Amino acid sequence: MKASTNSTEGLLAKVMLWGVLLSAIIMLGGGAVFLFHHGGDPTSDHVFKGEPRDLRSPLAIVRSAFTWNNQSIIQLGVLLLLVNPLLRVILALISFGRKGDPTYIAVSLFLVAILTYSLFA
Amino acid sequence: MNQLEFDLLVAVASVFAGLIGSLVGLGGGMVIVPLLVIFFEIDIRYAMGAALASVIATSSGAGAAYLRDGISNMRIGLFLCVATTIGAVGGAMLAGVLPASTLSLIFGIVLLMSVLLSLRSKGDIDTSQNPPHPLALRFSLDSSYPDGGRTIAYRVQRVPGGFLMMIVAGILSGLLGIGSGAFKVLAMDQIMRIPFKVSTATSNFMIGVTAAASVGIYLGKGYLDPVLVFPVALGVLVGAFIGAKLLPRISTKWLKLIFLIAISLIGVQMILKGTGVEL
Repeated sequence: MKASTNSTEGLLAKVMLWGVLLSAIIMLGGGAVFLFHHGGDPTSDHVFKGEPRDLRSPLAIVRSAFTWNNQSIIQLGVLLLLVNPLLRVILALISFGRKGDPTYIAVSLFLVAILTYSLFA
Repeated sequence: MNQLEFDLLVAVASVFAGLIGSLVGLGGGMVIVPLLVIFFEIDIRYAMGAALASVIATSSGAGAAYLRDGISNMRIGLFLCVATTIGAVGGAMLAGVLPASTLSLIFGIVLLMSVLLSLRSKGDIDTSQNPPHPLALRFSLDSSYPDGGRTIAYRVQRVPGGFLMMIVAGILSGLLGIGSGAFKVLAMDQIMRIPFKVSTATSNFMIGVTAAASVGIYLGKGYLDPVLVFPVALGVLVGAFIGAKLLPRISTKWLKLIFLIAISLIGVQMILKGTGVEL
């Protein structure tokens, strides 16, 4: 049991680390381009208005990032950050599935469902 | 102040928050929200959104290191995440209906409570000879961890109490945009008698999953402004990384006390802001 646990945890650790690095790079790149074009604009976060629709759902973010909208590219990096924990529980689900552990298959499935609901509903 | 100056200043403040958060053990989210609200006069909902994204970033970075050490307990983490994610979804929905001033008030109170929690003494109780808890057996929670060449076994106690406390920790996380690590560790080491090292390592893994349950709701409500999120998330991540490298090398007792006092003052300021008192 110990060996398989370790390899799963090793894989999880890799996903966590590389996911964060990739999203950091996208955020940094998108942010730099945004500030290059809009660095002189006034700031606007003192009053809450809520973000526009393009930046509020995973599908809309991906779609508008393909139009090379600066803010959407940063938001794509943010989105990648947000799905990192979802990947974590999916990996856990797979590893408990391989071990044939019904209790933890159920626990992981529940977590996959609630994170998917939160992100996509 | 234009956008460039603003983002640069926010990034510097976030590095600072990440560094302090990891040194005192409260986490960057707990420190950056009040800084953004009080010094940058940002609406607390945007501040919470950016903080929660940074919480996921640091949890993934720190959790990766802990997973490799073999200290954190995946089963305990996943099992208790059921409680924290349910709480987090509820908390995020509650955040959507409460006025900003109430959020600020609750934030200040929770900040002060977290400071008090971080001051309590940490001593593990040997549970290896205790009778196993039926739920711990059912969910295979009991395990052991390596500590300086030895292997220390533990048996998880009072599972329902810990589970309930985790629902509270989840609600606070979703309600305030924080990792609520202090409350997760409280549930694990004080209530469930899980060794402190295992508790903190497992909490790091859990924080990201918990935060993800509410951050999707934040995203849908428009709390995540990319222009604010990127300097905060990157800054806190860098700060936490520096903190983790510095932590073993420096004597933190006095430093920790000074920062905890400063953070407490900020907590009082948040409470005053929530009650409408201007200083």
